Amino acid sequence: MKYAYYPGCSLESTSPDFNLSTEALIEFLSLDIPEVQDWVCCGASSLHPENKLASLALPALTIEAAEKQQRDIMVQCPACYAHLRESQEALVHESKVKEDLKETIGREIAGKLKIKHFSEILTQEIGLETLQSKVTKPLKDLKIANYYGCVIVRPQELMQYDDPEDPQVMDKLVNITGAESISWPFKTKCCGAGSSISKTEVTLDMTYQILSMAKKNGADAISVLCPLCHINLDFRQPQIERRYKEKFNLPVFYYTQLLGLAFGLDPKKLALDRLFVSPFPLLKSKGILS
Amino acid sequence: MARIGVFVCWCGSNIAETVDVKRAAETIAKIPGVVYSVDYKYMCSDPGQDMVKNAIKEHKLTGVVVASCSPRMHEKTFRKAAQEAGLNPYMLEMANIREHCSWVHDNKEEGTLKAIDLIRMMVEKVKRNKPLQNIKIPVTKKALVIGGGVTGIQAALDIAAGGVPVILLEREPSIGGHMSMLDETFPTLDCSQCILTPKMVEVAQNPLVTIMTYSELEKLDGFIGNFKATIKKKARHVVVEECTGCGTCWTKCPTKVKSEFEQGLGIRKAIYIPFPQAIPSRPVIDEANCLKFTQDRCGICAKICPKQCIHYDDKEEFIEIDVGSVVVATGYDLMPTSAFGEYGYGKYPDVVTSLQFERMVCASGPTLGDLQRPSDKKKPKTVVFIQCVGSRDPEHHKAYCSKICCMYTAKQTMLYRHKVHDGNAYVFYIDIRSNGKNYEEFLRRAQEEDRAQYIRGRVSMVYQDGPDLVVEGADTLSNAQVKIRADLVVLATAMVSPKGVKELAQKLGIGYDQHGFLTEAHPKLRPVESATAGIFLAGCAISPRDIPDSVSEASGAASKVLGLLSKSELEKEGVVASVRECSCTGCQNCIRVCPFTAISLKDIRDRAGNLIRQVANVNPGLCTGCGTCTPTCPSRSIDLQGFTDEEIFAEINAMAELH
Repeated sequence: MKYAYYPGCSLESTSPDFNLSTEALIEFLSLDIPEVQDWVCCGASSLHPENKLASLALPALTIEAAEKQQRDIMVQCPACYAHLRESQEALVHESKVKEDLKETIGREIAGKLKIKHFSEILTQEIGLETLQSKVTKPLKDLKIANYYGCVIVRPQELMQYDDPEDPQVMDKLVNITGAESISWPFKTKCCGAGSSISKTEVTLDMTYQILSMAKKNGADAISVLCPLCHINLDFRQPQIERRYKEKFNLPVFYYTQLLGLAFGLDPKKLALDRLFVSPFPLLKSKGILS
Repeated sequence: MARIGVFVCWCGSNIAETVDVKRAAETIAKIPGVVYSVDYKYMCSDPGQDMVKNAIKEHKLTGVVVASCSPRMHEKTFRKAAQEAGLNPYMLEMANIREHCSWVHDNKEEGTLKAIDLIRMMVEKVKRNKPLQNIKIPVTKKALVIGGGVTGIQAALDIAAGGVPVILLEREPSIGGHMSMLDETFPTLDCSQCILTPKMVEVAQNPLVTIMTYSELEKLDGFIGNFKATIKKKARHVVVEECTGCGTCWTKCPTKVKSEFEQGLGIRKAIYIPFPQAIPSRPVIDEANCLKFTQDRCGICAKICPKQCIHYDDKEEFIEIDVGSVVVATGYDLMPTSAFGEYGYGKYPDVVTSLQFERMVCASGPTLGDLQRPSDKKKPKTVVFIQCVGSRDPEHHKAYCSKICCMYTAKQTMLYRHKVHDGNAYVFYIDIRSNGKNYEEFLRRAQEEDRAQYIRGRVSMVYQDGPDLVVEGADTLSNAQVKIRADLVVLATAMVSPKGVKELAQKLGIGYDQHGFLTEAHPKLRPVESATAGIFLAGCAISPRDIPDSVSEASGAASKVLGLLSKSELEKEGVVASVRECSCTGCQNCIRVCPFTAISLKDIRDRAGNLIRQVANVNPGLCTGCGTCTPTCPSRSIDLQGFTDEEIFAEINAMAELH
């Protein structure tokens, strides 16, 4: 296993908590996963409706950078993941687009490396048993609603991540921390991130439904793996509470933070203090942190 | 010396426009051995055929080439004419200068040269042709019908009505199939069992029909008119002839099992009859669940049986039966709700299939027709029906339309509204397909009189919210999102080929498509025939069908069977492989490649009866003349009559000669 880590723009800007907790896990598990050198933005959300070719070319540059390091790509952001996969698909399987890309970039890129989400590497390559053996502080008595969002699982043919209706990857990871993954129906329902700026009220309504369904099904907190889902569920939670006059008080963790907690890592290192809905009252009430 | 006559057809302008038929006839006339060569406007017309007949007699022709259309069109016509004129029909060949030439070319010069080549080839072939005789095969006057649903029952009844004995084979403990599970049927709302059970009784009482339930086809050998079926009779553990069906055994049986007949909504015992009108009304022991078989205890049914006819040590039996023809009516299965993640993978008890809904409203169902939803027995006030679940969905499931769902969903909304007068029935649909007699009118009744609310669009997800289900979907006519809180969701899941049908098709040597539906010999003109002679198809085994279509096809297949078995002998073409025994080494190459198992080894013995060697031997009844065997023979000892190596090489040489 030789990976290079592609954080992407979100994890470097709006979601440093995801980035820091990821790096903390890499360090704790002594994984040889350096950052991809000279990576570029994947062009997500803004580029692909405007210029399809450019939206394939940008991720191709990152793929090329990893190829130079002779490493596969590890990624955390589902949008980055989707665009890298799409670009790779074009490089490997679509000869016409591949020609266009060659002309645009000025070089040929093979694209034959592996692109994996960190959660896949943890479950498939490191293994749940190994991870389980490193748990020192089980997150007892904590009910977690795992929320995958819509991007990581769709379209299934391209992402090849997990079942698009009832994925289990994060559930398995959360279960080894000692917390309980609840069964609930909105694991992959869209949070509305695409309309977050242009039609905020639409997004607020969609996120509201997710929060209420998690609460209704008995969740103490939510676990996510997408920086945009996190913004909506965590950062916008107070806004939603005001708008719908309903108190949720549901901390929204990145799955890496929950794993880090169970491994006994320093909450500060896991950037728990950066969450908008503070998790500390909950963690203290459950006796997980003192 | 061969005396060949050549007849070049114009086919009106079909050929004559692109081929200079006169020049072709004149050029061919110069080939040695051709004693007569003419062109004519329509060779297939009566005067055209008379030309052939007269020329055979006048010019003492030993061979004829008709240059016209594909032999698939008129070979039979001309061979019959030749026969009438006293020529062996296999001494007539057709050169296809229409489909293979005039229709696909537009340059007349090139077309003419190609036509001349094609005719020359057939002239050289026919010079070497040998007279062949058609092959006669005897016929067993008995038929086998596989599948005891309404289709199989109808086929068996119609065959028996023609005086031919029939075996009706059913793998379940009773005949009746899916139709026996339905409540009322569209478009007349007559009770399904009320119209089916008389047919079940009729077939059971018919002296020409032998019903074999709890039995499966193990093997089918032989060929048209002469099949040998091996049937596996699964161990029923009840002596059907002695049992009176008194019911003491299943009343006392302590083991409760989810009933297949009730679609998992009701309970049966480990010794059971599937439903009260079952035929035969004799129980069967379900070994997988009976305590005697799983834990070697209990045994109460045998103890209390007043007739002492329960035997735990019964074993499955194999029976061989000779039949002349087979009808395959194996029906369908429904995709289970667990195949659909967006609707909860079958986890929500109140998301049911349409067949489960039938049992829920049926007077003979587990609640005796009192509609209750499975989770909490509540009477559902809002029911959402979703059509095309798994059908018309090429990305995830099946690309085809399951054909009957539009109509039975309309029917189910009516049945629902007749039970719950203030209830709301919603139907999500893509398109409505109601193209049958009185179907559209029936659908309108559902919408107008029974106020089913039709929403054109797909459902994106169904989820549980407290005791209710929430159905989220799109209304594509008003371009709006729809969210309905429902008590019950009914999925019209796709009809799929039943379990085990591919294995059955392989045993029968018949084709099936990527979905496991059986393939017709021709989808339009031979819709109830399989590609294997003597094996016929009917009903949902071919593709989704409603009851009228299935029953019509059953009658169609039965008439094919009767047509076949009405003769005492069958005649088939003499184009079969034959073995030159003196040079055959018995290497068995041909035996291995023969797709019809028509070749076997034959012992060659001396006068004292000692085995000298073994050679290949072709069963002409089984051989279809496909020619697969001939190229595999290292000593060129097997050849296809009518297409011998010599004849084919003569054709190729004739073609190469000109250029």
